[in-house]
Amino acid sequence: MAPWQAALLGLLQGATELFPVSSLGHAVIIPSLLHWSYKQSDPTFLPFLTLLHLGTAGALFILYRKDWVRISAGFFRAALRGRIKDDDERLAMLLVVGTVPTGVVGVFFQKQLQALFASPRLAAGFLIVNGVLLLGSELLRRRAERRANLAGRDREQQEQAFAEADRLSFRAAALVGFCQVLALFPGISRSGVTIGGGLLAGLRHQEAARFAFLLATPIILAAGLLEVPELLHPGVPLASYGLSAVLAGIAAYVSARFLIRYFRSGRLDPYAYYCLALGLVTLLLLR
Amino acid sequence: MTNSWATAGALIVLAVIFVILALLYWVGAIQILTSTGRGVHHLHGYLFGGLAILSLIAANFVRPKNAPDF
Repeated sequence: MAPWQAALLGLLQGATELFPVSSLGHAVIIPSLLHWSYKQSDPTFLPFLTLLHLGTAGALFILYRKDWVRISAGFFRAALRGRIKDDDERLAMLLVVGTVPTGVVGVFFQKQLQALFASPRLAAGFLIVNGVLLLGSELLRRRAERRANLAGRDREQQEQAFAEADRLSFRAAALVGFCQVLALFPGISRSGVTIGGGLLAGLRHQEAARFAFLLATPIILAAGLLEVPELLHPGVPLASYGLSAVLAGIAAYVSARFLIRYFRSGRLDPYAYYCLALGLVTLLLLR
Repeated sequence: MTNSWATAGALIVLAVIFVILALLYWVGAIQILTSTGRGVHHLHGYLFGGLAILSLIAANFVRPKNAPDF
């Protein structure tokens, strides 16, 4: 892979990891549409993805560094005490409950699923499914707004009627965690399904996004750290890949800040239409 | 979840099972549901080690206590 291709893929991965449009789907579809010649079976491709994941997780960790200090302390306090006493402890335990399903399914089935479904056509199909899931979760949210007599009010007022992340029930956190499992299919967005799950659980859009980003951090970080030994593979261009990881981190940081602002009043609809359009266009072009 | 010593005990037993599974994966004695079907699988070992710790934390949560939960 040429350094400029690595840099572009870094930017693409960093941005699409957090936008609800599937980074894995884009990583499978875009090189195929652009007829890039490198192969994902190349032994240096896994180290490349590892570094990109570390870049993205690092950006999320920097963005939420104060939250993570409080959450980590809250986790240890609650775990040792055997009881939850404040919001930080509750959020820490919600994140644990939400992370377990993806951790278990990911360890056992990720390689098999990605080997089975890592074709551009299937990824395009799943991207369309992702668009439908995003539209479906917004449809249900609009129904909930009508039931709560919020129709017609301005968006920020509507959002205030819904909950913050630490008020999520443990059952809902597990449901969001199971939603995250769907992201193992290339084309289904991790942040998309977890934000959608958060909306179904009654969270504000902004809080659903925050919970999704917090939930994604340990998984992305673990996926990256566990593959670090792959970086020692001979022939890995560490400088070029390292630069790509930095670009992925910058793109992820900017994307996360944008999305948190956007979701004060924004909805998932535009991303749903983008996924539907890209999926359909890809299927047409790769016929 | 109901707070009781029976549930806490069951979670401790589960933790022990997870530790055993972690060790078996770690030394390569079992390869159930692994991508290669052979060799050692440290990742699966880490996973079951983590699940064992979480089971112990859950046991600490469900053991009977006096004061109400948050």
